[in-house]
Amino acid sequence: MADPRIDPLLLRARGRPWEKAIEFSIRSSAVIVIAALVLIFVFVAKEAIPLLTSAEVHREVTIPSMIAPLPEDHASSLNSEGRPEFSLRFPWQPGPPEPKYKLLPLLVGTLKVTFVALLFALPVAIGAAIFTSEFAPQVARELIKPAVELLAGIPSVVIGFFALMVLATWLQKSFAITYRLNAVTAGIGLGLAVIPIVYTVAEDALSAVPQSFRDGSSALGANRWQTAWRVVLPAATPGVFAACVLGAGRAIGETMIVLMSSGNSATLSLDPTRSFRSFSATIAAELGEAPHGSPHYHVLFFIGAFLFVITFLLNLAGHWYVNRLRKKLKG
Amino acid sequence: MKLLGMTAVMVLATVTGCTPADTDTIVCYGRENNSGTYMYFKEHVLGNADFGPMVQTLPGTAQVINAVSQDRRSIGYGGIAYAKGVRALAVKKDAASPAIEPTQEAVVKGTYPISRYLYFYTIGEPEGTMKHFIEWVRSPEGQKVCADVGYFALPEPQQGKAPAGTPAKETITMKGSDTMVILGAKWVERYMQNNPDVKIGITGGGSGTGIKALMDGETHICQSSRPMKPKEKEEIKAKRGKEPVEIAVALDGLAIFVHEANPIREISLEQLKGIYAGKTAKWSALGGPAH
Amino acid sequence: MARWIKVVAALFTGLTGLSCLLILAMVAIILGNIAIHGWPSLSWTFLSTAPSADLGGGGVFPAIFGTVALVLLMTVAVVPLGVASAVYLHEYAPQDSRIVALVRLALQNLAGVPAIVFGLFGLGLFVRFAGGGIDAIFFRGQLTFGQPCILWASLTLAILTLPTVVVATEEALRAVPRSYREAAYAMGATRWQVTWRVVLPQSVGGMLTGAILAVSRGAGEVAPILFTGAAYYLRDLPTKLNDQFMELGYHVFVLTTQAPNVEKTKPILYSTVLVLLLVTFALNFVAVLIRSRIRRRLRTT
Repeated sequence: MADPRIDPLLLRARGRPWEKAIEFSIRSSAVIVIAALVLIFVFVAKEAIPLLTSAEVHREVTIPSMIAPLPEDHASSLNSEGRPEFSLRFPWQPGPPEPKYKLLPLLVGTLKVTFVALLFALPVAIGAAIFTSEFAPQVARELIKPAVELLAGIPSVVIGFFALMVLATWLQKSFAITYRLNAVTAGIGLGLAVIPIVYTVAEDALSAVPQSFRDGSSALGANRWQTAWRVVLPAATPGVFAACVLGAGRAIGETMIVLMSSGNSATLSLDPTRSFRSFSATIAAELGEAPHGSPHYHVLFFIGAFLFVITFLLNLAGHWYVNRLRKKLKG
Repeated sequence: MKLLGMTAVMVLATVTGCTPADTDTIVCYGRENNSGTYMYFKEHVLGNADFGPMVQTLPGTAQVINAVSQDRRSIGYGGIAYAKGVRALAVKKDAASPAIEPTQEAVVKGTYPISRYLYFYTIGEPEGTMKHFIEWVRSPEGQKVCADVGYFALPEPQQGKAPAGTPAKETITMKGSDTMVILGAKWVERYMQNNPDVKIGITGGGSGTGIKALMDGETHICQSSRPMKPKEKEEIKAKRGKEPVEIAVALDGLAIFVHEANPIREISLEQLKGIYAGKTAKWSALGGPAH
Repeated sequence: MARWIKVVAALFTGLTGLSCLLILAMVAIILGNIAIHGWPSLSWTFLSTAPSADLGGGGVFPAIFGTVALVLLMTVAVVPLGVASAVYLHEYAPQDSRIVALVRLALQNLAGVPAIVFGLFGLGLFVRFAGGGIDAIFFRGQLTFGQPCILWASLTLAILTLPTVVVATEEALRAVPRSYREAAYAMGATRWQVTWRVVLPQSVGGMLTGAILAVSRGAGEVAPILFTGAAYYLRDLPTKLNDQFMELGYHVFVLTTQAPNVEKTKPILYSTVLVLLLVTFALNFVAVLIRSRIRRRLRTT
């Protein structure tokens, strides 16, 4: 192999100086991509750090104070009968005169709606993926894939609009729910946004399973369901799992749908038919009024940094599983 | 297995949480905490106590109205201008006072217990085009716009005179109260018709958002449906070097809305406080279930 | 035993088929509901006039204009950056280098960052840091760029849609047969000449697909522009980089949550949603057409 430093032909391929400059700018654009991700975290975390370090912020709120409940004798902890109630000891009331920043209702709210969304979206999306890759005639495949892409193309503000105007009323009438805007409404809306991702990744995973697996199984006398359930699905498990993880990441971070259809009330409750408040909707609703540098501002950025870290980890896990599937099926 | 467990828990919570035909629970709707309406309500009705956690916060008064109009068990509060499709209750200052309807007369006279001024705030005294615009807003011509949108004009002695001269060509930003944003937009529309050289951009986001924008130097005029707090005024003076100037521009009544089918017609401030602070949870406590 | 298995098989097939039907039904219901309620108020006047101050009348022209201006600026920012990154990943970098792995990782995760975090980022880096800096250096502290405006909103969206452009461009680069490149190298071309004169012209389709998909995504995202530039009511159109703007998606949000007379605004709201959807779908459709042509070429070589 010729030495690229002295062989005239290979030297030529590297190009004249101005082409080296172009190569440099191309390389730096790739670095910008990495920088963008890092910068996002840096700038969001930067505004959250005063929560840990500034004494002035600590006068109003500290990280332990965001987790610990109010004392039992505090006026806000008492219910209508004057007795302290657990769910009332975690208020989220950032306004004056006495701001209270308890994260628990927001955490429970976010998890609650994510759970409902996944409960709705995962079976539907994975079921549809199984159907189109194992059972369906070509016609169905040509119908479902575009439909899912159509669903993916609907902006989340439109889904939120639909959930608020149509879904909420229909659900309330059909199931006699007390609160019109609740985790079920928002959860189904959120599920609609999650279905495309889960379907696409799961369907990719199932299609990646070599046909030889299916042929071998039918040669042994299995019918289509047995093949799908006992051979293909287990083989594609890392990919299907990745689909779930990526879907969860999307659900946790989604803002507009939840902002419009959740009722935004910081209630601490596991009941999905009650209103709730999620992390992302809190940021969207309150950032406008938090003066730059105020404790409220830093708390919101803290929540933003937290969301970033969680979705980052979920995405990392999801893509790692997809790679594992690819390696598993190749070898 | 864990998934099954969680599902079971949620189903149980749902079943125990909602009883069929639960018409007695009061469903409360309110505004986000960046809203001047929210702050005004908290101060004047709740006496600075916290809102109960079950109050559903919606990002705009119109949504509060929309929600109340669809839910028989609900109650909501907001600027009187928006009251379409719901009923506004008559409000009693206390159990012994008469219940007053939120009419123009009652608000202007001050007999309606929860009426308030709507404000513009600027950094230092307004100058140039801003001054021209604000003077126009406070003049009889500008005040006529209030009625178009459902608000109330300032009482005549408090109104200003029509501004003199023509304004310079400038771009002005106005930001703040969602309660006032429609009114503000109407003012802007009318003013820009008369003075096409001036560009005024308006954004909502709540009174708190407007005040914060003023503080951070992101807007020229802040619309606010509540007076600024002394702490906020200090912060503005510290950050921007000048005191904020408060200019009253209109009158508003804070109306309490219920569904049209709700038999309740009047409510006292004490009862309101009980409902919104989370202590009173049933319509039967007020005298009759909402059907 | 065989009959039991047949029952289970039928059940399984039925349930999964039902899932498909459910998806189809939901898409049909959403689109149908919007089309039915939105179509009556859709008219040329609606598309070309400004909204009235109480949002109960008028049209959405400023929002359409604002959206177009926004995505145009975004495209100018994202396409060069995205294409350059894709070119680096596919043409220049040694395939097992750590940088490539890192860039791919960064792209995958960028795609997963919540939209509201992008909004926070846009506020922190662009509006405050960059804008404040520009004001301090060039405008002697006067508030010009240190506030939400169309420049910062479009840059924020550019970062958000970057992965889309890179992925689509890379797919197109992959579709160019290796033999093309080898032939060019054999004739003595430099790497840049091969890229610029042989590969990129063949990949225009993919770059176009990426740009169109990015535009369609950017036109629909509201959370990132909430704090970086969108305005509630601006009768005048944005003419300078530091102007605020109205936008279709944000307008839907505003109409839903702030219009005073909900009944009066409903037809307008539905029509605005319909306009947004039509624009988004038209763009997606064109992108899909181009992409299938690329895929067909990939299969035949």
